[in-house]
Amino acid sequence: MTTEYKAGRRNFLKGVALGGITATATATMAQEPIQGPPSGTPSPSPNTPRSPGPVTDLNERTPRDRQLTYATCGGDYMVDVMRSLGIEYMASTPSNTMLGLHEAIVNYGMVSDPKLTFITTVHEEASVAMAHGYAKIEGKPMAVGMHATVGLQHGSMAIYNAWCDRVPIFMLVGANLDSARYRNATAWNHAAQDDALIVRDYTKWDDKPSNLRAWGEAAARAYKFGMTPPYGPTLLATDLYMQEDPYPGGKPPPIPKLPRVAPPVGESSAVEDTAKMLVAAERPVIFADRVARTPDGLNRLIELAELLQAPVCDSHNRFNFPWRHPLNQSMRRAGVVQDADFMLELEPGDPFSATSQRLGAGEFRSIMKPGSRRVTISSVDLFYKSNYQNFQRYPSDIDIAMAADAQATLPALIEAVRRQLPANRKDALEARGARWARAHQADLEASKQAAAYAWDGKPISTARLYAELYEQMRTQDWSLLNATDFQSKWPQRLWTANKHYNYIGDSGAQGIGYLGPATLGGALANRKHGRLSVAVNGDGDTMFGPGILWTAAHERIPLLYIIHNNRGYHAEIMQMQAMANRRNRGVDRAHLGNELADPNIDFAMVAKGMGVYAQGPIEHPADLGPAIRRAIAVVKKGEPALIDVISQGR
Amino acid sequence: MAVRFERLLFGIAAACAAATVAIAQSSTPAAPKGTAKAGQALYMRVGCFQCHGTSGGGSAVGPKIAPDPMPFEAFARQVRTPRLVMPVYTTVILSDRELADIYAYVKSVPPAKSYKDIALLNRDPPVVAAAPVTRASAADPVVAGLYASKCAVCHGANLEGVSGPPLKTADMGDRDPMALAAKIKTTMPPQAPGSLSDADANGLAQYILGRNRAP
Repeated sequence: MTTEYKAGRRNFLKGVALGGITATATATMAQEPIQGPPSGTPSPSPNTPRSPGPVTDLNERTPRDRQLTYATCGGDYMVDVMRSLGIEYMASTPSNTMLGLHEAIVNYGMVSDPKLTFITTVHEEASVAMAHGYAKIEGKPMAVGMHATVGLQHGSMAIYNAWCDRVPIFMLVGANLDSARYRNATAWNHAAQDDALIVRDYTKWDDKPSNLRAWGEAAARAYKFGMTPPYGPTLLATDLYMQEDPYPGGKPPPIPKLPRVAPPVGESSAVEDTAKMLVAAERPVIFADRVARTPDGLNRLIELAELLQAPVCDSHNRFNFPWRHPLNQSMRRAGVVQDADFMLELEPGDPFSATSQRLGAGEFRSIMKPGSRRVTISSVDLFYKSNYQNFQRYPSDIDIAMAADAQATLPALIEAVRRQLPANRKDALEARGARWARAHQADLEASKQAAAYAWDGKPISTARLYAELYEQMRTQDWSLLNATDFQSKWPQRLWTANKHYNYIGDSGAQGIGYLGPATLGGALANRKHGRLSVAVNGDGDTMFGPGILWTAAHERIPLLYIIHNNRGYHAEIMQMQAMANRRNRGVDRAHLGNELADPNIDFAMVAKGMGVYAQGPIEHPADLGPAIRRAIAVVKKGEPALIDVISQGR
Repeated sequence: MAVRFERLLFGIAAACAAATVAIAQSSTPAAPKGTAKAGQALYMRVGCFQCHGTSGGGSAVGPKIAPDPMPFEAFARQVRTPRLVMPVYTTVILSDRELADIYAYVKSVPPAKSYKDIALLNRDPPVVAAAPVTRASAADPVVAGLYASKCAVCHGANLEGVSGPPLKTADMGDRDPMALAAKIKTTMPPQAPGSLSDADANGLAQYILGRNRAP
C-alpha cells in the first residue's frame, strides 16, 4: 500500500524514520557547522558563492511539495499518451534524465495492455537507428529516449540519417526545466537552455513543454507532424521532474486525440496536365524514389505502370516496385532515361542527378533528349530547411513541380490517365510492354551470367553470397533489411521480390553505423509478423556499434546477421588508391587507415561474447550454404545468429 | 561520399566501354608478352581487385575486365590515362613490363561457366515475355463482365466464395499479380484450363486484387 506523506523536505528530514541515503545525508549535514549570518547583517541568499554555509537541496527554494511515496507520476501519463498513439517500443540507453519515464515503462507500460516495451540499447545512435529501421517496416514511429545533451549528441548522426530518409521517429530527450533543482555539477553539464537546438536543422518539429498537459498535446502534435508527409523525426525535451513527480492536482491530464492524418494530394489541374503528358508520350518513364510509404504505394505504382505499360526505374530507397516485374528497368536506368520523352519522378530525393551525367571537374549535362519533359511530385517541396544541403542541386528543366505526396496523388493520377487514354492505344501499349519485358529478361540473364564470374573464387563473391542466401530463404516470408549498394545490388538483380517489407532501402544520409541497428529495428518490427529477417552488413559499419549484437541477444530479436567482411572501409580504399596514384606514390600504403586487418576481427567471437549464436569466418564458398542453413534454424527459434563471411570488396 | 564515388564509377564504366569499342575497331596490335603468374600477384598488389574483383569479373564499381579482356591497346590506355576517377597507373608506379604481366593474367582467366549450369541461379521462372497486365482496374467494365461470366458462378459475385473458395481474403491484396495471373491462366476455369488469353487472365488477376485492395 502506498504511503502518502505530504511534507516539505525539511519536515521530511526531521520527522520520518530515515532510509540509508537520507541517514547518510543527515550525518554529513550534522558534521558540518551551520553558520548563521553575523548579527546585524542581512541574510545572504543560500545559493550565492559567498554563502558561509553548505549549499544543498535543503536550501532549495522551489515551492514544490515532496512526498515519501506516491501513487501517480507523470511518467505513467506519458506512457498512456504514447500508447494512445500506437507506440509499441521505446529504445533507450538508460539515463537519469529519463528515469521517471523509464521506471513508468518497465513497471506500468510493460505490464499492462497495450504494452509499451523498453528496448535496452548501449548507445543513443543505436536507439535512433533502430527506430529508423522499425518505422520503415511497420509504417509508424517507435519512441527513442535519450539522455540530456550528451545522449542527444550521441544520437544526432542517426537523426540526420532519418531526416534525409524521410522517416518518422518519436524522440524524447531528458531535460531539467528548473535549475534550482539541479542535483550536482553533472546536472549542469547535462543541461541546456535549448535542448533541441543541435538537431533542429534536421528534425521536423520540437518542443519543450512546461507542464504535463502541454506534454500530452506536444506528444500528439509531434506524432502528427512526424507522420504527415514528408515524414520526419520529431523531438520533445522532457523535464525529468515532470516524469518523476505526481500528477499536478492529483489527476492526470486528458489524453489528446490523434486525428486521422490525411496526406497532401496534388493540385487537380496539375494532375490532369501530368496525365495528359503521360498519355501523349511515346517513351514515358517513371522514376520512383521514396514513393511507397506503405504497401498501397507499391500497388498504386504497379497499377499506373501497367496502365501505361511504362518502364519504372526504382532508386531502391524504398520497395517501390517488384524486382522481377517486366516493367522494372532499374538496372538500365541511364539508357531508359536517355531514350525517354517524358519522365514522371515520384518523391525524387535528387532530381538533378536523376537525369544528369557528370563530365568531370564539376560539369554535368542532362542525358534527356531536347524537348523531353519532366514532372516531379514531391512532398519534400512542402517542407524544407536551410542549413544542411541534402536538398541537392537545382534541376533547371522541370515542367511541373507538384508539391504533394506522391503516393496519395497516384489514385487521382491513375484515374486521370484512365480517362484520357484512348481505347485504340491498347495494341501499342501491349507492344510497348512486351518490349520492356524482353529488356528485363535480357538484363536478368546478363546479371546471372555476371554472377557466375568467380563463382567458386576466394574471397567469396558477393553474388555467390546472395545466391546461397536466397536459396535458403526464398520459400519463406522474408525481409532483407540492409542496403545493397555495397554488394553490387545482387538481390535486386537476381531475386524475386514482391512485398513492401522485402526491402527497406538505405540510411538516407549515408551516415555509417546505420546498418547494424537499423536492421535490428526492422527485425524487431518483423518479429510479431513471423517474418524471416535477414541482413548483410559490412564489417566497417558493424564496428561503429557492435553493441547492437548484445541488444539483439538480450531482447531476443530474431535476425540473421551476415557480415560482408571485406576487411576494410572499401570505398575509402578505392579512393585512396586513386589519390596515391595521382601523386605517383603507388598504392602500397593506401590500405593504412582504411583496412580493418592486423589483427583481423573475429566477428564470430565478438558475437558469441555478447550471447549471439555465431559462425565464421567462412572462407570457402562451399561452406556458405550449410552455415546459412544452420543459422536460419537458430533464427526460426526466435534468436539472432551471425555469420562472418570473408568476401570480395563489392 | 561513397555513393557519389560509385556514381562516378558507373559513369567511367560506360565511358570506358565506349572508348574500348572505338579503339578496338581502329587498332588491334598484338599484346606484349607477359607472365600470367607474376601478373596475378601484381593484380592483387596494385589493387586492381578492389574494384574489378580478384578474377576480373567486375562489380558495381568496376567493369568486368576478365575473362575475355579488351584489346591490349585499349587496356593500356585506360590504365595509363584513365578517365575520371579510376586510379592512374603511370610507368613510375607500374612499368610496361608489369602492365604486360597484368594483361597476361587477365587474358589467362578461364571463361566462367554458364549460369545455366549453376542450379542456384536458376531457381525462379523466367520473366514472362508476353505483355503484362493492361486492364488494371477493379472498375474496368470489360473485366468485370468477364469475371461475372467466367468466375462468379463458383467464386461469387462479391468474391465471397460459393462452390469455389472466396477470393476476398485478408492476404489476397498482397498477392503477386503476375503469379495470380499465371495461376488463373493455367488452372481456371476448372472445366477448360488454359482457355483464357494472357490479357484476360492478367485482367482478372488485377480485378480480383483491385477489389481486395479497395477500402
